[in-house]
Amino acid sequence: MAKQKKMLILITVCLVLLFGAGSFFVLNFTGPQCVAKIYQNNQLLYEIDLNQVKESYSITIDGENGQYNEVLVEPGQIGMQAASCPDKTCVNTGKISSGVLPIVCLPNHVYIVIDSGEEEYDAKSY
Amino acid sequence: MKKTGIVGVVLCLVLIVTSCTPQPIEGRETEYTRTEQLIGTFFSVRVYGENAKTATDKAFARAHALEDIFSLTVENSELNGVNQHAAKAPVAVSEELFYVLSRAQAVSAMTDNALAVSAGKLIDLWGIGTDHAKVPKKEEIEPLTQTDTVKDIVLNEKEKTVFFTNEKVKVNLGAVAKGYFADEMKRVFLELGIKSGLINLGGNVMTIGGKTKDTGWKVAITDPENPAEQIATVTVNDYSVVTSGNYEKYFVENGVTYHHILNAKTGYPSSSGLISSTIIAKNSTDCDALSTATFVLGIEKATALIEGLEDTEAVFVKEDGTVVTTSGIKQHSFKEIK
Repeated sequence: MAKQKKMLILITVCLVLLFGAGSFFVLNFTGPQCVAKIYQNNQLLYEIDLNQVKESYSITIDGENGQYNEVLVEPGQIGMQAASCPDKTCVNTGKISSGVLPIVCLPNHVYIVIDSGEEEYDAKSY
Repeated sequence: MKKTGIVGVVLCLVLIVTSCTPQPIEGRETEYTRTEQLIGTFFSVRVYGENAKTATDKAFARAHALEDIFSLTVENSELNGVNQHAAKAPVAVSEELFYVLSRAQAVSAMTDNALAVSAGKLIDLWGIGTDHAKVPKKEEIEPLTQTDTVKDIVLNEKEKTVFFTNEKVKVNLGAVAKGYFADEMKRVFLELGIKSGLINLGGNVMTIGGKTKDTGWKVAITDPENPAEQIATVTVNDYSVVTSGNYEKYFVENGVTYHHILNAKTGYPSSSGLISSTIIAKNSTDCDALSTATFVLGIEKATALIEGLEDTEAVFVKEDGTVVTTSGIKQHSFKEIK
């Protein structure tokens, strides 16, 4: 009986320790990073930590022959607000907040991708 | 007894903790990523291993070399040369171009020409994805329909030559080449000892090994009705996942949306009832070709075709949003997102 009691205490102590370790991890976990990288002609133009963005703002990226892309940066997400490209695929992609789907403007050679460490998915087929 | 009890509890805890931790692949700690624009799309690579950077340099060098063969926008590409001269006389071509044309013909043959790489002039006429996209006149479309990828492109295996039987033919490998680029880049990575990685060529996904020793790569399939969202996921290890959808390139004229996947028989964007077709197989060239061909074939013929192919699975989305899969999709841990 005494042995059973000791075992019970031991298991309880272990469970409390596990719970404590788990709580420590959860409380100290600041959430996934969310860094947007904006490229033009394979060159990195901007690197923006979207978790640090408090107020929305826009960036205009000028290209050759009057081409432009207007990027809207918001807290936790980023999107292409307007663009001079004919197909507007980049604008129609909408806002992204994870690295699963990039925003691509092929005609203007502009590409936006988010690096958020661990994603829900590793890649997206489209 | 007391010691045994303590050891038992500690062992149990160790087991619980370690069983939840995926075991990394050898060399997994060194990650290297790169994105570049090639053949009109963005190529992204994420690979793991001690020589990840060197391997990526070589894989991209291979991709650039292939661009000089397959691109239609590189003025002096091999394919542009073939399109210029092959209707006059047989043109000797590289092993690479011959192989891809052979695979395209094989898929065209099994799909009753649903994959029509011979319809380059029709694609140019519509101009979808360019700044001059428009609905052509019926009389402009008519002469460019009915090119036959199998009969009109004559491949001489012995001489490695290509000949077009008529002037209507222009080869456009936009529906196949990206798959071949993925296969070749993967081959380079494997030769250089990379055991884990992801190659994403404008949405054509190729995986190298698994994410860890025990887990595969989780690949999301785009929801064609809302491309920012996902309609399903598959988890794959050493497979390619390629999707063709009506949302990739399109234009709107008089309120009607015209997407880029043309039915070469009618000369108009495919209206088979499918709005997305995803193929999962080891060979990305075949995945690429089959995703386009099945999109044009429609659900019944497409399902029958894929069911008859070894180690090949598909996820189709119909116009009404219904998701249809082939019978072996479970091996890829398919999950529909409702």
